[in-house]
Amino acid sequence: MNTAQVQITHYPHRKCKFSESVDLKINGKTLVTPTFAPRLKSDGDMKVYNTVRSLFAPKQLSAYVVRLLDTGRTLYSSMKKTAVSNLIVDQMTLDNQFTPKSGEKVLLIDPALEYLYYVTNMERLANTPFVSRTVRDYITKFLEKSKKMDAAKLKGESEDVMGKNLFRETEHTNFWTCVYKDANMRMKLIRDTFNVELKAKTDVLIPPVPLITSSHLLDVAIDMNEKGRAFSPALSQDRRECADYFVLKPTILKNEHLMSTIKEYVSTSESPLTLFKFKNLNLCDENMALERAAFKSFLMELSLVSQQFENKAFGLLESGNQTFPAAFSSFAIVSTGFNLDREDRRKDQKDIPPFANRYDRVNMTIQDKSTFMKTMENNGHTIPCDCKVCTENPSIPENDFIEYNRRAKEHYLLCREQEMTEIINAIEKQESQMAFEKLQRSSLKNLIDVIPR
Amino acid sequence: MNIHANQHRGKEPKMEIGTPKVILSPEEIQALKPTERENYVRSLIKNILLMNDNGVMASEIVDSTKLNRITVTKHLEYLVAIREAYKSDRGAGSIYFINGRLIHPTDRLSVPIGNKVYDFFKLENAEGHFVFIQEKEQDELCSKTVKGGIMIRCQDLLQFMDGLQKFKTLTSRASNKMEMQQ
Repeated sequence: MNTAQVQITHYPHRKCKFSESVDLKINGKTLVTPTFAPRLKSDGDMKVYNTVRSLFAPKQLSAYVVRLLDTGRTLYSSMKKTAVSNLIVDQMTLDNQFTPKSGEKVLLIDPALEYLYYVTNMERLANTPFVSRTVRDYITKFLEKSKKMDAAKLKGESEDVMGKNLFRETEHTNFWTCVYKDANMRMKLIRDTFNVELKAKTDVLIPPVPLITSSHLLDVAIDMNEKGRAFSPALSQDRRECADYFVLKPTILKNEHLMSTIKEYVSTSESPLTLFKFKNLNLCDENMALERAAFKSFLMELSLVSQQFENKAFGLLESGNQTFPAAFSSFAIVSTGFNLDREDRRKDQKDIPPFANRYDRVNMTIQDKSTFMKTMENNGHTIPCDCKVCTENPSIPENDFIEYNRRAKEHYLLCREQEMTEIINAIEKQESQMAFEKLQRSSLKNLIDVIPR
Repeated sequence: MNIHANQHRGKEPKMEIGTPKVILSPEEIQALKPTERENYVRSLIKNILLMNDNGVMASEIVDSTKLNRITVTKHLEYLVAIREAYKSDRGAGSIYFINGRLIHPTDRLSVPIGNKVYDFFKLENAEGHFVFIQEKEQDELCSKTVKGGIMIRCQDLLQFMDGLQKFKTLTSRASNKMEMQQ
């Protein structure tokens, strides 16, 4: 007598052209969409999120995302610090002590296997025990080969050595081809990933999928989604719903064939929740006109699917600058890190300033400390923001970067909460112009082209 | 397309039963751990029963899933034993049905007692309306596993509860007597 773990309730008065706000019930927890799910990557982020939730009771921040490689320092780190005062007498007590507490919030664990392709975080992925051994073994071999290539290059044998990008592309495709062909390897990867997700008390299972860079890898991703979904009941009878997941390179947006395959799959898939991630996508860039048009058509298609099928919802992970238009159009869940997912784009990791960037709610983008201080100076030394964090703390801790960063994060969450609330209000009042006007006033003017109308 | 379970079933041309869109291949099933394999096959068979309101025969499941006949029959019998399914003997073979559907989505109640949960459902199937009590146990991943179940006809429920009450009185009297004698 198991009932569906993801249920969607539509309301006629919460619909406006291509936008809709629904009640999305995941594992017994209800989200009023669009929901902003911050991506948390440390227990500091977790504390900020919990503080904002307890102090301001935001309704649109009822979900959060943790990448698999961050689960240790985000979900389990507080447990390490807790001294086990009592003698553990049975397995149940042990499990209670070392299993994250599930709360009212929806937790999504992102397997984030795009780092098998992108070198950033690759080493971290290799060293985390939360990732399947299959993945760790691949990375170890990849890094060894990569070092050998570098050494060969230094010796002046570079002409015989394959280009680094080509090498990475080939190795990545080969790994996923092995997964695709070898049933043992495939099921081990899915099982290991799901087990970690379940142990961390995820509310939806997300299968491990490759970063899609070619049509072959799209086939692999579809296969992994289908097999993950078929396998999920094997782990427990009281099962979690298994979402479909696609991680794409932004260039894929321009590939009509691949995009139409994805759209077709999404509309016929049995999974009620489909998550997308366009890695490092910034549609605000002047050179992304084609991608913008493709993204608009994609949003339109998803919007039609979610309105046509009773039980279909979509989520966009690492949505970056696209957060607002995506939430306004068809995505029930949108998610970014506190710095709008820019950390992967930093070329030199050593030059990270201690002061975090702050979100500018008018420009809808982030600004560094000096720009923020200048803006504040021009605003008569008051923070140009009326969120509760900024009004309750009118002075800026200029020399205390810990406090500065904490407030910047709390401010970011409240800004996103307000944006999501504005979207819901606009939908209910049938004011579809609101999104265009808001983007027009911001630095994301280019994204006006993205919103379906 | 589903076939209708009727007495002339054996004479009808074989038609495919409804199955989930994706079924793991024999190699993939082989790659699972024994407990996962059991859970997977059981859930697959239960899904097939859910998708075929008119019932299915073990041989039809074997044909469409390529699973071993003994495995299929074992799981079907287990589902019958925990009252998730029931079977009807027709001629040469048995036809298995899912044990009804909820009459109304709200006709359910969960009563947690210790590490067990007793779920109550009001179901409807071809044989009438039933109260279905299912016993579930929580494992280390906090997921629940069905351990058993009982179906009681709605019209017999009061009688059943009377019986339960009588039994409780009977056993408490007996234990009181024992205490007195000691």
